[in-house]
Amino acid sequence: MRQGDSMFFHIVRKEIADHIRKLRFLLISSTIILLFIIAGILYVAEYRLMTDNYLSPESRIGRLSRTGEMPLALFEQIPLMVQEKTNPLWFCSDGGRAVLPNVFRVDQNRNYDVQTTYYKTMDNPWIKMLDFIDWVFIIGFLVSFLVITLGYDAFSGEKEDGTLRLLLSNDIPRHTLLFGKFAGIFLTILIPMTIGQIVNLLIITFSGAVPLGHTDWLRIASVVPLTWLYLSVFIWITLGISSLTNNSAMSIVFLLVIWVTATIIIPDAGGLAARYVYSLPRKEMIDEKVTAVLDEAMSNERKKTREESAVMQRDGLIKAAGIRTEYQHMKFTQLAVARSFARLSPLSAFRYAAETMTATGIGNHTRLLLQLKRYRDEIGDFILSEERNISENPVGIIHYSVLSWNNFDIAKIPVFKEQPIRFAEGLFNAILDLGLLFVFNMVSFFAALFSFLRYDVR
Amino acid sequence: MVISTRGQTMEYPTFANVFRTVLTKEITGYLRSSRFACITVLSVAMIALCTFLNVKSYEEKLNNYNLALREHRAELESAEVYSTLRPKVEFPLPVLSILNKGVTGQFQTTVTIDRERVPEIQTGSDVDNEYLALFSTLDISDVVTIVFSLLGLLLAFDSISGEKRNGTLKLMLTGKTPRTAVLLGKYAGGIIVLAVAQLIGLFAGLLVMLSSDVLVLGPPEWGRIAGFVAVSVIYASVFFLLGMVISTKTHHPATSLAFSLFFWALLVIVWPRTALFLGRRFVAISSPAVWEERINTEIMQGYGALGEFIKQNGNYTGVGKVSRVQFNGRTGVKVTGADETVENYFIRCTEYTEPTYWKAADRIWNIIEERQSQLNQQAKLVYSITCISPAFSYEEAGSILSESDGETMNRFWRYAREYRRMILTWITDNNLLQSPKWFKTEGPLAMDGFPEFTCRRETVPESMTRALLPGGILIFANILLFTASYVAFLSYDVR
Repeated sequence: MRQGDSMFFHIVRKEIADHIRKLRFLLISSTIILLFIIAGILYVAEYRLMTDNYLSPESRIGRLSRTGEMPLALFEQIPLMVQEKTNPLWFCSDGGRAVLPNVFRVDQNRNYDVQTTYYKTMDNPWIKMLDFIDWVFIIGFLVSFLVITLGYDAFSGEKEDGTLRLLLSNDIPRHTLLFGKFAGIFLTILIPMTIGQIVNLLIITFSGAVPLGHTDWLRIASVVPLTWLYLSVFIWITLGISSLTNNSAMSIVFLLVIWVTATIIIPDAGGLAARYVYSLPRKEMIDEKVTAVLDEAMSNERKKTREESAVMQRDGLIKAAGIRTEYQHMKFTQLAVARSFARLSPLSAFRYAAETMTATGIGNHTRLLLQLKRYRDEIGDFILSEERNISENPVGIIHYSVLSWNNFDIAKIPVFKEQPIRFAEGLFNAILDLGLLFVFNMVSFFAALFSFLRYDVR
Repeated sequence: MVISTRGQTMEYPTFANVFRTVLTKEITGYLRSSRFACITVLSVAMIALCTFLNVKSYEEKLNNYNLALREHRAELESAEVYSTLRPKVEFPLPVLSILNKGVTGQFQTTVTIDRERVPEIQTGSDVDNEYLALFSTLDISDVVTIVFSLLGLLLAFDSISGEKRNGTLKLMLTGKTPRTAVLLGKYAGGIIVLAVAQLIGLFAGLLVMLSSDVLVLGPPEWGRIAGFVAVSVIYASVFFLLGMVISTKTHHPATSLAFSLFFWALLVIVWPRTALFLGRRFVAISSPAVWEERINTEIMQGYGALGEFIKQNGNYTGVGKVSRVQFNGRTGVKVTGADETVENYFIRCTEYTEPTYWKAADRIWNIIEERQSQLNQQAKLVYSITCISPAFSYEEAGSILSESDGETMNRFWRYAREYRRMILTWITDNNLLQSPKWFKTEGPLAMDGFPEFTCRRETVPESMTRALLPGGILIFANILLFTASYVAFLSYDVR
């Protein structure tokens, strides 16, 4: 073993031993482990409630008729409701579950767009919505904060005590010391964090309430290195600031300013920034446009045959759906702008990467919308084929006014099957955010190195 | 006090002298320290930025509100028959939601006054892009909650243990220096500096608010702002005192800091979230599906009235001549070119169906009211558990003073229900159900005496009274922590 290597390991061992002996470590560890325990218990209770409130597409179709049959023209008028499946990995990354719609209205006549409805199974609007304590919250928000409290005096504290001068008077290269300090903090924080994650997983697994399959474990395993990557950014920043300041009180203040900016201000300001960069027309204007189109289609001033009137009404619905779809695209564009802005913070990059890996959040929402649009077309085709089966002279227009009122068997209705995103696909989609995390690491590492190499240890 | 012994005079410090000296020393010390400057600059920047963005968003919402009011009025005036009268009312967004947004964003703000449905609270935001709710918007209250609690702790964590480490505490407490005066001086110095920092931050926010042309702050708003500032100072004081208690219990500033940040994370971040989620488990509410089923049964029965009428009297097409019948909503109908028999048919139909719908609406409301009161109770319980955290108590007091709490929303919906009742009385008093104008388009409608929607805002004393509870919790926490630091400091080993 080369001398540099042995020196490095010596520093790491000393750092870890120093950290572990301090009361600070005990407090930090107990906070982290306690949080993971609370999160596990809360999640099991929450998951039970979610599964109790989940109605599968099959049971929703079964509720359409008690006799198992219903008139086709009536079926065309009743929208099918599809509820998002309960994702067992919400404990890792909640992905804004409290905000995103979880029940979708699928109109059979393929003319309306898939509508999202605010049907929240456990919503109480009088209670202020706060983020759920998931892994992303614990690590992204709190462990990053604790990393700062663990390392803020790494250099400035040693300088105050005079030990830094002694240390560097030996033949230790500065970069070895920097890497040693980094590894010391990293491994010290990794101990309680890993224990916490394991305890959290044990609570969730042994509760028996949350079924975790092979892919789920793979997804969980993929989130773990993400958390390391994220925390290392904060460790480099902490070391960098600690070697920029001459006393530890200054370090902690600077670090808290950076922490507040990176974890609170930038991620939240994304939404506000997007409103000004990309503004949307008022919702009422869109509603007015839609009403005008529908009114025109519904007006029966001119003499028409039933078929002509049905086609006119259907085309009106298609046009109205087009307006709504366009508006929805604008909403997603605005959201994309907001997310791009928020990505200036490592927390957002970490959060989005974790969401993609665990198939939660807005990515999963848009994927589900696409699947539902395909399902809506499937239902449209089903109505036409069923009309050919039960009607003597099928018209071939999906509109209740011309469809047959004969009964059909509701068991034949295609059932929506939610396809979860494949693991490899998720990994591919997370490339941007993973890349950003690497960039944050590189930038903060070089900044810390540069700052420490120039540090005046006297 | 001067005591003379063997010809020498020795001056013992009086309480007032010590207090004054410590106070001056603390204030100058804090003002010179970089942590004070850093955090004040950070808070001013944060408050100014988020107020600017929130003011812009308020201006946009106000514009939308005024547009909506105009549209609602135009819609009402363009009604051709009485049956299609469905006035819409808007929730007037409180101007001080810029200070604290509260829960206003979790409710819809436009209410359509239907005859067949009592206005019930609708959840979900009315904003143009609901996906942007993924980004929480910071308000002044959030900045105070996070930054000033940290500043309070950062100013106080080494106030005792730091002086002990430097050896200055030993010097200070030699002789007969009264410890109470030292503690009071330290507290007064800290709290004055904290209050100054807060006032600078809040003043920056106010300047941004006043720079807007559309934002109008009347005397009640100034009263509320004064209350908000007072609660903010009391809140920051809780954390300053917490820092002092920790400082008097530890002997090394690094340990004090670790403990301070541990409690900060626990009280500001962890507890509110845990309590909000856990509290909901204590008051279980049956799933919306159960309620929907109960409501749907009533709807089927109530709206079956038209079917019943048609069963007994046949469809209008078989009665006489009519050129066009246009249905609008569930119970609105516009009839053109009808002969007398069809007119009579529709009058009988209205007389039969409308009262049935109104009664059904009352029954449906009873079910909804039961659910809403359960949800309200759940929220109350959850809040009372969560209020243990000073951060949450502060948020709650702030939202009451800013008129953005759940009760303000309840109040608005109560007025909306009252408005519906007034409209129904107006219809009955003017015998409109028996009038052909209920469905027949002929000339403008007589709208004399049509009720206007008014929603009386809560007065400042009323809000202050409600804010007493969360505010009282903060004051109690202050007293408790001061007593604790006093007891701890009296027995503190300065060696």
